[in-house]
Amino acid sequence: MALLEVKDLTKAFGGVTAIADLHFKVPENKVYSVIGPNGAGKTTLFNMLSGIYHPDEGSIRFLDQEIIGKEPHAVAEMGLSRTFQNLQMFFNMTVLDNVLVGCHLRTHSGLFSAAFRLPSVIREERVARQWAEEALAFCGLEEYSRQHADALPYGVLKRIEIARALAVQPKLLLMDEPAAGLNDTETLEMRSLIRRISESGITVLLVEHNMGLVMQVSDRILVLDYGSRLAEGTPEEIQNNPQVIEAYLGGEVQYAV
Amino acid sequence: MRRLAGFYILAAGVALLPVFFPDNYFITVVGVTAGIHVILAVSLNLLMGYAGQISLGHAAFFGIGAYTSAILSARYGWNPWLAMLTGLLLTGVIAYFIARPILRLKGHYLAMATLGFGIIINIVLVQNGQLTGGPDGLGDIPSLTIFGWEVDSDLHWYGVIGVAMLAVIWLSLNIIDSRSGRALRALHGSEVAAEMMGINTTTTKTGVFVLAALIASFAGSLFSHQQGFVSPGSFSFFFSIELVTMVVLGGMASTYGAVFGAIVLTFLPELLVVFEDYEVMIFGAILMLTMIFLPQGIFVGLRNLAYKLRKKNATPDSIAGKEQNRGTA
Amino acid sequence: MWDQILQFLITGVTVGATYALVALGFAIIYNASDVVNFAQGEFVMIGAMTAIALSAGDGGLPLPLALIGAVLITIAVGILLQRFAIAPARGASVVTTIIITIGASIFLRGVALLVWGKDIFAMPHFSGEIPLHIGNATLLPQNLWVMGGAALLVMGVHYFFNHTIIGKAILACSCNRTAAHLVGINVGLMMLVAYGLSAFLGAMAGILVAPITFTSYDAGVMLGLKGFSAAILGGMGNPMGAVAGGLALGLIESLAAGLISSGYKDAIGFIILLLVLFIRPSGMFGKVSAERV
Repeated sequence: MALLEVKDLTKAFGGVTAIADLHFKVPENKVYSVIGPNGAGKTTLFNMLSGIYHPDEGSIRFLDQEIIGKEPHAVAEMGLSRTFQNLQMFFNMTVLDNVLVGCHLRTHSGLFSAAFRLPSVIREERVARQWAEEALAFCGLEEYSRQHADALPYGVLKRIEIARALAVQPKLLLMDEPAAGLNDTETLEMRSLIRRISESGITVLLVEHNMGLVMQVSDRILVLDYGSRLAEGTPEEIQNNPQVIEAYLGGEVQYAV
Repeated sequence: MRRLAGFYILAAGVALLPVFFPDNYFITVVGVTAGIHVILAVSLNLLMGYAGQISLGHAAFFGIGAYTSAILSARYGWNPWLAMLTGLLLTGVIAYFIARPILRLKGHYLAMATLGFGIIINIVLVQNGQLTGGPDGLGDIPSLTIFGWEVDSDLHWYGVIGVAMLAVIWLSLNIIDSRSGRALRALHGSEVAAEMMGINTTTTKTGVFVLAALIASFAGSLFSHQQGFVSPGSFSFFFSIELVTMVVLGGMASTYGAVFGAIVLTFLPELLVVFEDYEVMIFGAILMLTMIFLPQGIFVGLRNLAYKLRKKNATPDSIAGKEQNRGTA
Repeated sequence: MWDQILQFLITGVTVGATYALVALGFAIIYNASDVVNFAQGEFVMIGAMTAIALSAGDGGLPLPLALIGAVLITIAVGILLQRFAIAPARGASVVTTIIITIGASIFLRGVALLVWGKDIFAMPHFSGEIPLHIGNATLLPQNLWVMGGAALLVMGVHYFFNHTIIGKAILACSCNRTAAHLVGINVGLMMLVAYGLSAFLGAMAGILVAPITFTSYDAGVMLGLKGFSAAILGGMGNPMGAVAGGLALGLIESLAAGLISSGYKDAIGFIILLLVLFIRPSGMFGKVSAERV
């Protein structure tokens, strides 16, 4: 069954077409990657999938429900979470608080009960804290829990964003270039993290430039070129697709790990 | 309880000061004004410091509360409490309806829109003379009665305002350290990320705007009954600016910073009276210099400095566990 | 009725021209340094007050000399403001810079209060007070001075930014400070020029309009706010938009005062401003920018 189904998706910015007539299906419990050169429309695609941009045409069905027209918070409520290419940390908070924000949808106390700190709030805080700590532990971040987000290195921040998105307990996780700016060791850690996320039953939709990583973790790959679908298939199919090699990989690919 | 340690110290201070200085003008008269300013600054800090939405028109809600109380109780003989409640209701409705269009704006546009709103309300207060008394103001506002006990002396008022102020500070501290408070701070940190975590940023902004307005209206009603007289000058553009200054001077996104800023800015003019003609000039200079050299605010700046000094001898945990708000402005 | 409306239009354009100059000053500083200068109104006040002070009494300077002196003093104030209040706080947040300039405006007002007290001062009209008649509407020669002076200044500013090296260099700084620095533009100097120019425009506005409206130590407050409104109305950072915003605001206020209620004229100006912002959050001529995620 397809968790996410995109049909005839089109988006233009002032006459420049960013996404043209795109269609693809993301199967459940798989790692699905979208690759393509800079400006191919990958981030635009993510922004439409998460409700930040509204497409000009087409449909995006997630769990058999239309996403288009919904605001991001409503999309999140359906079970879709994401990370960002340019970090969108809450730099004014601690790491733990960042991840606690991820627990927003799983908790329910309102302003009034919070203001008077009713016993229900205290109970809920305790549970949420546990959830947040679990998400941090999952991403290997326990040690940073009490630190301020504005004082941490880039690689750690990238993982905090993932922990925050996992705290939402999404069915689908959109990851926008998780390995960008990471060194080799960090990239290896990221690879195993993506695998563990997938194994825990969360479908992953990945945009990434590091081809080695993409080929190793993906079940299927979609290749975008100028906002259109160039090819789609398993990593082997993509690596051997002459069109892809010609148009995008340029025939001189090295699969570095 | 460690979380509220600062609060208990503050509460003890508020309770003990009049014991040691029972008839001191600075405690029972200026202190009451300071208490009202603290309530206002703490409410504005929720909106501006934590949620990151600047408002240069907060005095308008203070004015709506004060004038509703004044008009209903002085002109129509309503019970002051009922008048206060009506003021809250009116403020809530107005705040709710302007919140959406106003909070779609950002940065300087938001500053201008809130400023414009504040000026419009002030002009309405000045122009509707038959109701508000116009520029001369409105007097003979009855005092409050609490279960048959009339609040009729400076010291009594000190107690009432002191309790109200501590209550507002307590509420603010609780809110910030909760799901709703994190949603506010998240909104400040990154609106898109907050949305992606399932926070409806539009309703969250509206919520904090209305809450801040309600607290200001409450302060206005107290002010009205305490002073017995209101005039539009107390709710002008300048006062809105003064409130923003209190928040920023203490340090944005810190409840204690707002308390500090409000107290300092209330007492400063009293002290500057000695300099007479130089008062305005010195006030402006202090404002400028603080912002240039301590942009995170005096309170937060000094606290961070203290943390840094302690950090050399302590583990990071004991430092960060204190309060989750360093200079975020 | 039509004569009345004509009269309102004359007043509106005169007031609007003053707003336009203040708004233009706002736009220039905003463009150059991303700062909304709440002390802009104080430039207007200082220009008018020093002109009056320099020309007053028996030992006073002749009016033209006094005017030049006043303009130079105001420019100096603008440059000092940039150098000692704005420059040290570079990179500060919007709120911080707003408070700094508000502090500066209170400080300048305090100095004016100290020097001149709370009195209201009048300045002599430049070329007599014999009104001209257009139908039944009257027009003072000073109205023409204001309109003509403002028009010349606006054209001059337009020329400065589009056809001179310094003007273009300032625009370059506003686009990208680092890049401007890399191509050899002295960014610090350009900032001083921008603040000086902005102060010059404020001083001119004050001097031109003072014979009609009189002036006092706190005359800059409302003018500053109106100028800010006008700049926002025109789309922050768009100089010619600011001029259009100023004229529009002046006309709206004058017509509102005449046709509806003089007490509510300021309120109506701000209500229109709010409505414009609600419908078009970036002002009449501002560019809509999308947030990059």
